[in-house]
Amino acid sequence: MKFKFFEHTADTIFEAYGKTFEEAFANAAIALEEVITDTRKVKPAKSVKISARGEDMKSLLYDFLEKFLILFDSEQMLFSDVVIKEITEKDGKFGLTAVAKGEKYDAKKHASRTHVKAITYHEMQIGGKAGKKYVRVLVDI
Amino acid sequence: MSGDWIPTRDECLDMLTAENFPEIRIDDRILQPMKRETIEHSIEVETLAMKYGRDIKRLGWTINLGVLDAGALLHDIGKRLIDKDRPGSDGYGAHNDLGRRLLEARGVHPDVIHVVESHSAMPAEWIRKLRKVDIYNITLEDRDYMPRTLEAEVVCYVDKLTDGSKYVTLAEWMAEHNRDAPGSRKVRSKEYFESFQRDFMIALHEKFMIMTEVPYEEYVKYEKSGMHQTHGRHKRTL
Repeated sequence: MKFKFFEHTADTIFEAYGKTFEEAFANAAIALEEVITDTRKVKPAKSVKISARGEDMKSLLYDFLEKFLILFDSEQMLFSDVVIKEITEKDGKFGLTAVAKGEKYDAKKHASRTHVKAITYHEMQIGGKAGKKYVRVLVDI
Repeated sequence: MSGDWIPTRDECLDMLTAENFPEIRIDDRILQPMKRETIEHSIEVETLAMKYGRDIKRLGWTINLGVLDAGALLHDIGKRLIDKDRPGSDGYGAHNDLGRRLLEARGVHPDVIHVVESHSAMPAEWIRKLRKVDIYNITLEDRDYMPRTLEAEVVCYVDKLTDGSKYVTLAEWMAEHNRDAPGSRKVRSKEYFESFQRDFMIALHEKFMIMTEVPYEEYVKYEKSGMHQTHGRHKRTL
């Protein structure tokens, strides 16, 4: 299982999973896209590079997910395939670069599910054990 | 000269980092690499500007988030044409005008160019006054370089409150600008501050608080204080 959603009033909570944090973060991005649309209908036609950074893993995840909101708001880009090369830590700063594949929103083809107002730090969790990582995110809708 | 191209986020980042645009010549200037800190600053401005833009749009105001994103990322692109070793140094506001010329030559949409050229908010009256002071070495045209669109106002406001890659409060910004700092190439004069800058920034500050229903401090508190482990984003009543 890559991700799952939880019932919550007025917000959406999801957990995303992976063998590594790189995988769990990438699956969180897909879960976020899944809030916005049905990602099965999104063709991975165009590649976009995404970089994110943070003071810690939580702010890295926040910054990373926020880039998907920016790309949807500014270019109406939807994504269905996200690969993170590596999460790095240097001098207490965390960073990642990812390649996301998707296409521009097309009302005829893509479902318009929920407008995401913001990523939040409410209830954000990042954890797991070796080979089994998870992140938990609440998005404001 | 300008065109209808609103660059995507990827295209903007390429413009900030590409080694050269061989087809472009602005006077005899050679494109300089953008400083890493300036790129980081541009991304911080983008992040906060888009938080504002997203909320402004959601609450029913008309704002073009494609123009806002490109304008925010490219607002300092003119700095790539400023070479400190070039004879005849570039003066105050030069990067605003060089940014405009560079983007016009590339066929970028005038709405994006307006965000870039006006992001420092320089009224014609003040440009005329500064022109008389040698140290500022003004090369700007004799006209307003003032934000006239919502996208340009957001970038101007956010840029002033983004010091490097750190967000500062309006009070901190005021404390920094409410003084005379002779010899500085940035305009640091009490007269400039008291007669123009202060009221302009307060007006934007109030305008965006009314439009978004969220005070500035809420937008930046997690970035500033590292409080984010335990606290969430401001919850709106709407």
